[in-house]
Amino acid sequence: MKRFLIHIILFAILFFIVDRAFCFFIQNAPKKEYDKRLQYIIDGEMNKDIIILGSSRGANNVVAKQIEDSTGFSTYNLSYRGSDVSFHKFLLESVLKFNKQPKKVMLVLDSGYEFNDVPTLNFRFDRLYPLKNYSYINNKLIEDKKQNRLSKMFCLARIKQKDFNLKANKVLPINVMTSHGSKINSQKGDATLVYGNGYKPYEIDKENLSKINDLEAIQNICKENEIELIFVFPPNFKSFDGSFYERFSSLIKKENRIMIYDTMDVRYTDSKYFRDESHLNKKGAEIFTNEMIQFINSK
Amino acid sequence: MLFNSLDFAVFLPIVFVLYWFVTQKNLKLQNALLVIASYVFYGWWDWRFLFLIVFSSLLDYSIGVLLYKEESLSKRKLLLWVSILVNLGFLGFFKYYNFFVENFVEAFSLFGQKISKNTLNIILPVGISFYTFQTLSYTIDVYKKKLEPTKDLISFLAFVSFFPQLVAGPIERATNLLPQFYKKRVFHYSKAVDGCRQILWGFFKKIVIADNCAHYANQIFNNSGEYSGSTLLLGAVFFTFQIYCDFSGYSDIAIGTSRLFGFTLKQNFAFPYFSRDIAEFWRRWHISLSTWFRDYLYIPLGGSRGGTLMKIRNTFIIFLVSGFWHGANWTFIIWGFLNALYFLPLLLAKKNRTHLNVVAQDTMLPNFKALFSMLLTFGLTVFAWIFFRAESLAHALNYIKGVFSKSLLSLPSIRPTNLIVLVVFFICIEWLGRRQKYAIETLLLKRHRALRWSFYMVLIVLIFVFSSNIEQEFIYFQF
Repeated sequence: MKRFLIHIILFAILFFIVDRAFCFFIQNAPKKEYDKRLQYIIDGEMNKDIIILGSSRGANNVVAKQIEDSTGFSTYNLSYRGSDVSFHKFLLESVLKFNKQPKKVMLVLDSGYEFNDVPTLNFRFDRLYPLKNYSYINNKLIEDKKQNRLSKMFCLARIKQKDFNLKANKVLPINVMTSHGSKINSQKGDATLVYGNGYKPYEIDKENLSKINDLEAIQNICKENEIELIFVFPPNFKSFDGSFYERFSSLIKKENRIMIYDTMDVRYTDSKYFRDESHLNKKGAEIFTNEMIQFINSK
Repeated sequence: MLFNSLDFAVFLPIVFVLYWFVTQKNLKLQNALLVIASYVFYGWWDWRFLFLIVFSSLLDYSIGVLLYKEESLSKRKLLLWVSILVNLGFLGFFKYYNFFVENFVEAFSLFGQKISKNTLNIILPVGISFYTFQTLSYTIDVYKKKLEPTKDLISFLAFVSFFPQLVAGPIERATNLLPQFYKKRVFHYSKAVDGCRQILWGFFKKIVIADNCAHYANQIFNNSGEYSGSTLLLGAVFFTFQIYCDFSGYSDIAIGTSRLFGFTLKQNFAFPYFSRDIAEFWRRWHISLSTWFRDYLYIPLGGSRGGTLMKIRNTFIIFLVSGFWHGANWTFIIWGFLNALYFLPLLLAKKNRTHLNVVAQDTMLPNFKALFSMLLTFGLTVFAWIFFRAESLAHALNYIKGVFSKSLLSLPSIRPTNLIVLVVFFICIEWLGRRQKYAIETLLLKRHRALRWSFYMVLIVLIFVFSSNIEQEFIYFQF
């Protein structure tokens, strides 16, 4: 028995050493990323007056630097393409945990399907994986069953096949790190776009309750921390979705404000300001951001 | 509790320490510890079903004692039938009730009769098919006077519920396992190390090969209409490795864990995919179940001693029952039927015992004939597994139709290179160890410890790197 136990202990020590050696791959993972916004949040380097949360509609339609220059509030766009309200809540909690709290949070909405389970809007776990060397991130991954519980103890349990690739990820043509987190698209307007006038009633039964709860949680967090929360309805290349607005209004607390794009502005019916039916191009984004600036300054 | 869970990683060392350091001097206490540990292990999943195991154990223990005392043949028969009916009654209710009700209703609907379906939302108690067969074999052996019934209740409870093999086998015979509870176990370094080695190999099979194959097999089987013939074939091959590595991996962990506690369980898999015909495959696949059916069903039915018709009848019975044992679905029955069809020509030609040795016994590589036979047997097995994996008969038939389409010759649209490399690595190791009880039993044993430990470390690293985010259940839990 003694010999067995000695060998088990020796093997465990050896395993511990091997495990530590593999930590290199975990620690190297964040360096490969060019989008370092989440890393900045956890490192406490996201001390801004205004943060913008949203999906690609937040990233494409809101020029953070323009807001900063015009309002004097330091601003950063934390919108991630394809992210849902649960991810926005996580980002907000992370900002508050590691940074000075912002004065304002602007949540850009995905009109019509903000609360639905659609394949285009998800919790962006892929943005968390490269940062699993942070316990905070690793715990979140464990909580959501995206990481094995053993990863609390062993580096090897955090490693995935991707981590062995030491090459840095390619920087996309639009680098969010050089534009205050915004992802402004310079593409010319798409002349083939057809303006949508149809009315589609909002279907409450397609909502995911957890997303409704996350919206409520965002409101509660902002209230507790005395942060001004502004919900933003950006333009689509179609008429305003009043049906969703009606449902949305019933979910928000009275202290929060809603900013809706100027539905009377004819430029939003002109395809030259749009990249596609849901996203503005640079020209369109600048126009819409101006509206946001006016809204911020109006209080 | 799953073997591949953090809970088990904590549970096992605790039981090990209590077993060898606290209760070592008292055999009864040691056995009692095993009973408690086994009940905790099982109750971790659902404690309510513990009552079923306890009831089943007490019933068969009492029947065993009564059988020993009883001289009258009719009364002995009655006792035996009570045990069989109660045990199979539980199994039938939990596993087959809904199947029979649904098929009964459908059969009547063919004659224009409408009967309402009174199916129940029944949870299948994990391991019921395994421990039921284990207790049944005890009663039958006592009835046949092949075994003296035990008077030691604690040992009997430990035998029925022994946690390493409780939920997915190997199905142990009382003649092999029960006497091991009577004797004081002595710790052997070599046994314990061998146990650890087998556990490691079991984890590798389950986590690296089975779970990763499952990912692709599920994707392909669940969307079979969207894939080319070649991709569907690849999906079936992935499932073939998944089911083998999942189940034999469990058996390896179970046998290895038992060795840590000084017990020796029977080998359950003997490299079945290196078989040269289906008869050999069935001597190497799920050995504990195959031999159970052979001893308690096939031989009592007459085995292969009677005329041709009797041989055919018995072969079909044993394979159909074996299929049905796996689950209440026609897909399993057809899987059994197919295997019977594969097996019959060998039996009738008296070639079912041609390959009793290990393939390429004295050489490194097989000759052309052996290689061809192995590939043919493997192909037949892959084909049968399609029925086993499919959701329904229609699904299986559409899947097969999809495989044998023109697109069979195209490149598969799913090509997980890493996994294919791992499967090839796995096959190579299994081939090297095919003469042993498990693949790495003697691998590198004569080499320097540093080399051996490095190999084990590589396996561990692969287990971690290729592990899933969540603990994946073993397939055979559902049976």
